[in-house]
This record gives sequence, structure tokens and C-alpha cells, in this order.
Amino acid sequence: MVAFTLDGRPVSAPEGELLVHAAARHGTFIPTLCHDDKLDPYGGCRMCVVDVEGAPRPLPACATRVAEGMVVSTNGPITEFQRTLTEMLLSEHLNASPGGRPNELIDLANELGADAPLMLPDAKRAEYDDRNKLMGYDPDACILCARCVRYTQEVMQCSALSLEGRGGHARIVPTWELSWLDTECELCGGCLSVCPTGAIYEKFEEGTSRPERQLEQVRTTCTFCGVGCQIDLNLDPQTKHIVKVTSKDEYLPNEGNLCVKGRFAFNFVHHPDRLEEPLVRGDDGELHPTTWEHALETAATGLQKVIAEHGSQAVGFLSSARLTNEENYLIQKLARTGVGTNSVHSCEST
Amino acid sequence: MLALRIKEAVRKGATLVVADPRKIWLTKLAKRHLQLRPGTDVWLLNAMMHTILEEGLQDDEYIRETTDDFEVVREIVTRYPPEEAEKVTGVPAEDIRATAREYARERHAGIFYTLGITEHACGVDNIWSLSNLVLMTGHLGYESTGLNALRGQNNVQGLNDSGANPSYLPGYQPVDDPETRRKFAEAWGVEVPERPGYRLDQMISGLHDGRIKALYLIGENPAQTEPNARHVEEGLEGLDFLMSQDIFLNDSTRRYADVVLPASSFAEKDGTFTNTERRISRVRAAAPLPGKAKVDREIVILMAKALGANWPEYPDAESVWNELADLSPNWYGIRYDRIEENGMQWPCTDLDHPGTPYLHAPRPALPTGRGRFFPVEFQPPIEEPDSEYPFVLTTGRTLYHYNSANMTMREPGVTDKQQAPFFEIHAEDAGALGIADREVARLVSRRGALEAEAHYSERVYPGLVWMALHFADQKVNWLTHDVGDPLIGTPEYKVSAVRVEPR
Amino acid sequence: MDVLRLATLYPELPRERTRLLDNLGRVRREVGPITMELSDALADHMNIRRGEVHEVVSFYSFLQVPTDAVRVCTGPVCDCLGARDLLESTPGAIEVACLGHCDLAPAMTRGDEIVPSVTHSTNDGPAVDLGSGDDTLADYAARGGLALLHELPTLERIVEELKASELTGYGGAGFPTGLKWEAVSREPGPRFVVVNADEGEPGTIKDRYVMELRPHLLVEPTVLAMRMLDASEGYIYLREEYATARARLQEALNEFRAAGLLDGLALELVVGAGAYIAGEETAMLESMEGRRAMPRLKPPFPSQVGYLGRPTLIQNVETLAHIPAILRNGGEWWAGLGTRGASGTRLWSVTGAVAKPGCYEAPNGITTRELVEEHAGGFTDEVGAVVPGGAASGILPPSALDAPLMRDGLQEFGAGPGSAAVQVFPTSYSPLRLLSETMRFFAEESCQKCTPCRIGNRALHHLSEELQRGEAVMTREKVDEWLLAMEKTSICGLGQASPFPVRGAMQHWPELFEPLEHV
Repeated sequence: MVAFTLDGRPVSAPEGELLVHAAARHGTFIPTLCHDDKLDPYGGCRMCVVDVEGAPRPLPACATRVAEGMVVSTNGPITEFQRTLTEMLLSEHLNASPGGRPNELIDLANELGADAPLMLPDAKRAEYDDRNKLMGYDPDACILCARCVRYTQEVMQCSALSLEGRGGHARIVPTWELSWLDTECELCGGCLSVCPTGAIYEKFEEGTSRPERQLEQVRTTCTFCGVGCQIDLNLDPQTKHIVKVTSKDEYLPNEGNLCVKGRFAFNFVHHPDRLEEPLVRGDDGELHPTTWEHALETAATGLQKVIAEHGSQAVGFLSSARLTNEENYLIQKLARTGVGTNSVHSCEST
Repeated sequence: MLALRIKEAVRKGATLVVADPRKIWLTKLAKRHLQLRPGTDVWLLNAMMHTILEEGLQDDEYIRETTDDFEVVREIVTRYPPEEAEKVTGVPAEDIRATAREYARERHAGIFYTLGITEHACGVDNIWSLSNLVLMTGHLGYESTGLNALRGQNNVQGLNDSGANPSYLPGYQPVDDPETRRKFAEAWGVEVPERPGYRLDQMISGLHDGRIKALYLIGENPAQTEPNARHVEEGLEGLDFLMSQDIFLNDSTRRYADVVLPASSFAEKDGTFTNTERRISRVRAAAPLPGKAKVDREIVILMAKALGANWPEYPDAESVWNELADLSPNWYGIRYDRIEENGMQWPCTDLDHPGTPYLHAPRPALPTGRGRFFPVEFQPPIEEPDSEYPFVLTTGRTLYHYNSANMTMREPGVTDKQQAPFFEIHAEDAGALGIADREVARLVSRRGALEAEAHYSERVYPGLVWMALHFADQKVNWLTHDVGDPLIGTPEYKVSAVRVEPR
Repeated sequence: MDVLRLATLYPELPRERTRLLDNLGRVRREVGPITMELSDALADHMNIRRGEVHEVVSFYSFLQVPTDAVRVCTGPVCDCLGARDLLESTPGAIEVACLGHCDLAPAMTRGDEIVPSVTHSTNDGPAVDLGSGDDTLADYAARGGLALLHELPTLERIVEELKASELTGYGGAGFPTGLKWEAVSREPGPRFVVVNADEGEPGTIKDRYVMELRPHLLVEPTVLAMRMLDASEGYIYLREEYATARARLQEALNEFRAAGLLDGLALELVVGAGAYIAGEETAMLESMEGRRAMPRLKPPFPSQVGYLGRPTLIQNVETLAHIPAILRNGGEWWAGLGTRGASGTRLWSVTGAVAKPGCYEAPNGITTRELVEEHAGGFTDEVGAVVPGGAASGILPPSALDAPLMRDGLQEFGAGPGSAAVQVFPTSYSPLRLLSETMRFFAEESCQKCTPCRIGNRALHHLSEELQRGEAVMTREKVDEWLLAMEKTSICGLGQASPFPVRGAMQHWPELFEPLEHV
């Protein structure tokens, strides 16, 4: 632990901790836009600059580590820079909400009462339209914090997005402006999840373009693989349909990361092919909708007939890793106590 | 998702070695790629152990203090020199030696495996070999180490934990133990059957020899996912009674089921899933059920009632969980109120137990407290390429789909990336056969044939073709054979002999 | 695109990430401008993600431009002397922010050739002495060169003499050279030596003069630094536009190598690809490591954490070129060459409305008028404005012609000596046009990483454009706030210094900024 001074208060923090984290633990919130705990310190947006005694100019709290005896001021005149930097970002921020995701720059502007004093004549960036159906991107909402690009490079370590050009011509595009479908992109949407302004966004199902903050969130466990990522199902409050899946950095084991299936493959839940009624095969050899009573009776009779003729051992249960522990527990109990066989297995013990 | 952790480790300086017949994406980050021929894992692993022992890199203290039967393995691996291994596996001897040294010398060295090494007729042998390697170096029971099975499906771990297994009651309590059966009989108020149950492969073969007359499928599609799938279909057709509870019709149920009950997706029910690191996490109902569909818990309870079973009321998922946990000592301490935020890892034996991130610490978690070496000799795959079927076919999954793809093929945003059936073939092979890149070609085995796009790929080497199991119209399991591991029946999805021909 | 060469070239190219820029340069020269296909193929060959190579390719101005392209410089001096007309009358020519040949303004290059041709206007001087160049290593040795490498003075003595000389870095930042050598020598090895030959500040041509006229004078102290610091690897990072300097340096390095003077050392030329910001020392290191030339956060400084994370001595060309004379004649002797209390001499780039634009060695502390009248043949026009030390140093009114070109002398004018690039503009060239062209340069050359630089420079360029029409887009108060934020919160010198010309113009020509008061 090292002792340092934060806005006149003596405080301590583990050596080497980033100032922005150390300050937060002591109740001092320093705004950031380009910072993401999953990524290397970047220090690009400059929103988090603080005064450090002895330094010739303010230092970014997101990239400066605490040291013994450091004297740090986060309030006072230094906060004027936050307003100015916000004004600057607003002066090339032509679209604040292309896809309903939250916009941290607008939040900050509202908090600080900052407006753009001018719009830069070259603020408009070349439009980008991708034929993929999962992710949209509006360059006019981008603040070039490069979190998305750095996510692809540092976390995914894949080639999907590039920070192209420099100066006023700089922009973020899928590599060589190909469609995401044609780059090495795995459509995990990680870039989208780290974007602070919602410039990259989920392409909504038609008719559910409510802002993310108006959606209801239910936390659950992803259904697609053995990692067991923790996710939030985002529901349209009216239709109760899942309209997007998100995650959070504090969720274990995935720490906010998701893959293409976890983030985007939820539409099957509301697919018209879903079975909505019990089906029983008729004499015509076809499956026909019926009532639960009839279906359960037919099922019980069918099983009991086999048990009567061939014994319990002639019945097998194939359960599924799709089901919960509780359901699997009940299924094995059904096999063992309802039918009287230990033959309960799945394709998943392979 | 797991690859993210591997990528992170490599970025922080870890050494990555990939052992895979295919040049998978991670080989880009790897220091070395051991591109072994499918089915030659035992040769590779025994040769690594050969090197370790030859150079004295084993952990003698760990072997002495915590393991048994080391000498038999020592004796066997002397007969597996890397130079010979090179001839069988195709991996240069120097690469085998270098990997053995790096693995043995690094304290934080972990092994992560998936179905590539288990889905063989010698699958159990392969895992024993890995286990021998781990025990020999003492890489067990602390962080960033061990022998880690990466589970492919969301709740494979939990399914077996919960007792959906012919040999085990919930919590891996053996069915063949009278004491255990008595405990469950007492709790359930019914005798637990003594006669051993059938494994999946035995049920499938039972379809043909008359041992199985009725099947109850829950979210399963054996006509796509099982090997020699045409043969499986014939078996399903011959059943007296087939019932299913599922969220979609599939190829097994559409044609053969007598009763299909509309069930729930993960988004519509409460409960828990257990992930590959034994972490039990909550599943919560979010969306309404479509039509008259019911949650699976309720369906099973209704079936139990219909079959005359005398079950308690289970008003919610938690009441079921509590019964499971009450009966399973290693799960006893995990209750819903403890896993509302992040999940917990079993074993967790009481309500104050923090859960267990690393198994086998400080000693192997066997009753003796000692790990056991198993002598393993190489067994060639069941089917080797010959003049009629000159290619080795190996199967797998892709990122974009989930198993029989009943869910993911219904996601247009995902199918944009991958929809049409395809297989990977080396350009050299395809060129010699006159098959153009992306042209539809035929794969033929002794069991069946299919047509799919031939994708030229650097991932496979000449002589090897690869295909995923996701395609309902062109099922790769029409081609695979159904001779599985003699001990546990795991199918050999990873090696079949096929020929490739233009359409 | 030379497809045949493509097939043979790639297998030859090294795969280390540090060779990316070099490889891209070779592909461009030997196959053709970098396209997506060429970039991807190189990425795959080097096992770098394709997107990262795309980022690098797009960062530099020239990688996607043919090597034989005709380029016209539109830096402030060239703009003043007719670059726009030249651009219009030269079909197919592309506009370039600065070519580093302001003495030949308006400058144009066709491929590696300067049009019409390279000429030098310079003088004899006590330290660098550019007046008569060295054709060969033998010429250099005949003038007393190589003495250092034969004597190999101790590091202690070198540091002592450098401190006595009060020599400071001549790239623009002005850090004391002796302290720098000492600091790097105290860090644990391995260490690197990097020569910053990426001269790019508009108006500055001095390093090019050294490399074109006396390349051996650069190589000798570089090798000395490598030997003193036990640096087995050294690099000279040269801007792409300096084709003549590149050839001369390459010859000189070959001569040193042939003479055994580089035994045990690897001293190599790294050629940039068109990016002013790569001259910022940490951006240069990024560029050398195969990434976009975006400046690093400081601290830590390169003397501690430099190339590949190791302690690195980074020195400007001219700074090194003074060292042989200092060590030959002593630090105090050199310090005594200055005037008006300043130490030593330096190479002054003098361009614009003067009779003999060129590069002249003269004492520190000299005034603009003395420089122009004693060396550059006098003014050719009535002076409207002077930029004393490169684009970022400030803009001065004619009343500053007699101010000594040193920190103290320029302070009252809100300017500094910068890179000693004195640019003289006639009254016919509006200070607002000068300001606008200057800010356009910074806006285009900003690496874009930090908000104040990326956006501030563009806003100020827009502001000065509008002011030329008598329009204001911001209030004076906002302008001041933005300038302060740029100066204080920008990551590197570009954004920190670019407010100076704006403030200078506002101070000296307040009437031109009147509209700001009325928004």
C-alpha cells in the first residue's frame, strides 16, 4: 500500500493501482470515456486529467499509477478541462443515438451543462452500411476513443476493426471497409459492448427500437456452451420479447464478454416454429395438435404398455444438456421412480 | 469464450502449444503447432513422457508422495521414442521434445482439452495418457494448471451432476452401491432399481436388437447427432413408442415421435446451469412461454403423475434444487440465496463452505488421496484410410452454430456468416480431384454419402477432410461409424475413412 | 503492380513486427502502392492481424501513393510562394503538407527527384561547418573526422564537455544533451541509440543539409554514442521525402562498415512513410515497432522506457553533428561561440522572402535581421510576419526582427526559438492566411489520438478560415478556453504547442480577430 493525497485528504491504495480506480474507491468519481478495465490504459480522450503536484501538466487518471507521496487534485480549475473537452467532442458528434444504446458523452454533457460552441465543417464522416444483420455502425456517433478497435486487438486479438487514417480524416471502420461478414470478425459484438456512445449498436428486430435504458433486464445464464456466461436478457416491456442480450464487467466467469451466439442468437426463443401445443401422432401417421390431458394420457399409456410387455428396462430416457440441473434431476427421478429404470443418459457424456 | 482467457494469457507472455490435426485459429498465437494425425494422441503423449523421463524432468517428489503405479507407465513409455512418434503422428520429434520440456519445466502449465481427444474409440486411453502426463509433472491442484476438460454444452456438467446417468444417482453416488440406493429410496419413498441402466450407445444399439422398445427424448435429436445416423433412424422407426419434449420438431421427432410435448427454452424457466469449471449459476425466467408450452419441470411432474408416481409438490425450481442438494454431499452447501450474484463451484459441503476453484488440492481427490497412473498402449483408429476410402474425415463444430443447429439455423444474422453445408479440404487434394473451391462435392463412407461445398482450406493437411455436425440436410453423421470406446461408448467422431468425389 | 516481383519478394521479407514499416516501404517501391491485397498478404506473411497492418498503412501519407508520384508542397512558405498555382498547373500532382525543401519553395518532387534540382545555400561555420561538404569518408577523415572513434574518450569526459557546452537538443524541445547521455547511461542495458532524422517542422531544413552535405558528421557521433552506451543496435529514422539524404547516409554507412568502424554494431536506416508526428520521439518509437506513429504517454520517458521498452538515447541530427567539434575543442570553446549571453552556434533554416534561402551556421542569440542580412542576402520584400522557429514556435510582427532568437529574447512576443527555422513572410501574405495554413498543417498531421489536438486544431483552422472572411465561429472566451485545454491536456508537443501561433497572431494582430468579440 502507498499513501497519497487526494484532494487534500490523506488516503492509501495498493501500489501501482490506476489513479482512476484508487480515487473511485475513495469516493471520488473521475469521468472517463476511452478507459475500459478490460483494455490497456490509453489516455486518449483526456477527460480524466487531474493535477499531480510536480508534474508539468495535468495527467490522465486512467493511465497514471498511484505512488507514495503523490499529491493529486481532481477538483478545482482542472474540472474546467472536462467541460472544454466535452464541448470539443460534441463539436463533431452529429448523431447521439443511432441505435438506442446509452451515450456516456451525452450523459457527461448533461451533467456538466456543456454544449458544442460550433460544429466542425468536417465532422461528417463517410457513411458506413454493413450488410450483416447483427451490428450497425454510425461513424457520426463515434468519438474515436478506439475502445472497439482495442477490444478487437487486445481481447479478441482478431482483425475486425481498424483505426484508419489520422487527423480529421481518422475514422474507425471494419478492416479495409469490408463487411464485418468478410473480415476475421466473429460477430461477438464485443466492440459494441465497449462503445461509450452507442456508435456501434445491435440492429433491432423491427418495431422494438426502444432505447436500451427503457428495456427490462433479467439476469440469467447463457444456454450455448460450457462456459456459462452471465447475461442480461433485455426485454421490451410491452411485448416481453427479448430484444437484446448484454452482460456486465462484474459478472463471472465472462466479465462482460460474450460470443456471437450468446449475444445475438436469442431470436429462436420467439421463433414461429416453436412448438405451442402438444402433438400426438394420429392413425394417418401425422402429428396433430391436441390437449395436454390427451397428450399426457397417450404418453403414459404408451410407456406403460411397453413396460407391461417388455419390462421397465425396455424404456430409455435421453435427456439434454439444454435443461437445468433441476429438470435433469426430475428426469432421472422419473426414470428411476416413475418407470423403474436406470437407463437415463444423454448425448453429452461423450 | 474460453479462448479469450488463452489469448489473454498469451498476451501476458504465456507459451501456447496447440495440438490439433487442424490449423485452428489459435495456432496464430501459438509458439508451436503439433499437427498430429487424428487418432495418434497416445503416441504423441507417450513420446512426451518418454522425453520427460529421459531427461529427468518429472516431479519425483509428487510421484512418490501422491501417486501409485508409476513404474508401469515408466516401462511403457520407454518404447515410445519421439523419433518413432514422428513417423506415426507426423509431428517432428524435436517439436515433441521441446513441448515436453516446456511443459515439464513450467510450474503453471495447464492442459485444456475438448472432444478432439475424447471422441475416439480409444478416448479413455487418451485421457489416461493426459492424466499420466499431469501426474508425472505434478501439475495439479493449484491455479493455472491441471487437466481441464472444456465442456461443449451449457449444462453437460450439471446433467451428469444431477444424476441423468445410468451409473450414478445425483452427486455421482453410484447406483451399484446398496447403501446409496437405500438412502435415495428413503428420501423418495420408492425403491431405486438395482439393475444397471443402459448408456446412450447401448440404448442406440438396443433399438436394433430389441432391448429398447420405448424412448423418451428430452431436447435430443439422435438422428443427427449420433454416429452412423441413418442406422439410428432405422432404429427409431422400429420403436414401439417414442415421445419427446422439446421446443422445436427435429429430424428424430418429426417422423418417428408418437407424442411431442411443447417445452421451454432457457429464457422461460428458472433453475441452474453448471459450467465447465463446476460453477453453478442461476437461470431465470424472463420471457413468456409460447402458446400452451410448459416449463420442463412441470411437464416432468405431470408425466410422473400420469405414470402414478407419488411425488411431493415442487412449487418452484428451488424446491427441486433443495432436494438435490440435500441428497448430494458435495452440493449441500450451495443454495439459491448464495448464488444470486455470481455462481459457486462445487464441491461445497456446508452452508459456510466457499466452494472449490481447484480440484485435487492438495492431493488427488480420490478416496486414497493418491493419483493413479494407467498404462496406455497405442491402439490405431477403428477405420484407417485405404485405396477405396483414402481420406481421413474428422468432425467438429463451428463458432456460429450449436450442435444440430435447431436454434442457430433459425438466426438469420448468424446464418449470414455460415449456412450452407461445407467441408474443409486441402487445395492440393481438391485440385487433384478436379474440384473447385466452393464447388459442391460428395463425401462417401462405408455408411453413407452426402453433398457439401468443398472449401479449400489451409487448416487441414493433404489427406484430411473436416466437416461440422450442424447441417440437418447433409448430416456428417451419415458417414461416421458407430464403434465407440469399449469402456464408455464414446463414439469415434474424429476418425472415419471417406472418399471425396466430384458431384 | 509488379506481380512477378510480388511472388519473389514476400518470402524474402523478415517477419519481425519491427520490420513492418520497412517491409511496407519495400513492397511499395518494388511492387507498387499498398493495396488491401498487398497489405493482407504481408500481414499473413508476418502473422500480424490484417486490421493492424491496415491501420499502419492508412496512417502514413505515402504508402498508398506510387513512388513516382509528383508531389507539391503546400507548407506555409511554399503556399506563400505560389504552391497553389504550381499544383494547379501540374496535372496529376498531389498536395503534400510539407516536403522539407522550403529553401526551394514552392517545392515539388517527382519520385525521388526534387524539381528542378537540389541546391544548397550555406556557409562555413565553426562547429558543423557545412560550407564545403564531404564527398567520401576519406574527405571527412582528412578534415580531422573520425578522431573520436579512434580516441574513444570516456563517457565521463563526454558528459562533462557536453554539460560545459550547454548544448541542448536542436530538434525543438531543447533538453540538455549532457544530461540525456548521462541519464541513459545510468539505466540498465540493453540500450538503444536512435537518431531522429524525421525533420518535419515546416520551414526546417537544417538536418537535411547536414545529411546531404556532411553525412559522416552524423554517423561518427552516433557510433560514438552506441559504443559509450553499449548499444549494439542503433537506428537512424529518416523521413521518406529526403531521398538525397537517404542515398548519402546509406553511402556513408557503407563506408563506415567497410572501414570496420561498425564492427559489432548494427546501425541501420529506417525510412518513414510520410507523417509529421513520427518526428515526435515516442511516436517514432511506435513507428519503428511497427505500429501507427501515435505518441506514447509520458512519463515514462524514452531514456528509461524507449525502443522495445528499453532505455534509449534519442538525438536529433544537428545535435549530434555539433558533438565532434565540442569534443575536439572543448565544451567551453563551443559555449563561447554564442552571442548575447547564449551558448554555441546552431544551423538556421532561413526561408521565405529572402534573397538566398538556405541553411546557415550562426551563433545562438542572433536576431532575424542579422541572419537575413549577413547570411541570406537580405529581405526581398517588405516584411509582414516572421515565424522564428518552425510552425509551432509562434508568429511575430516585423517589430520582432531585432529580437534575439533565444528563449529570453522571444518571450515577450509569445514565441520561442523552436527548431530555428526562420520564415519570412511579406506584407502581401495575410497573417490570417499564414495562421490558417499553419493550423491546417497541424490538423492534418495530428495523430488523432487525443481529443484536444484532433479537434482543437481543426476548430482553429476553421476559425482562421472564417476570420479571413470576417466571420467568427466561436467567442474569444471559448477560443481561449480551447487553447488552454489544448496546451495543457494534449498528449504530445503537437497539440501542446500549436496554440502558440494562434495566440501570437491574436496578440500582434488583434484587429484581425475583432469578429470574435461580437459573437
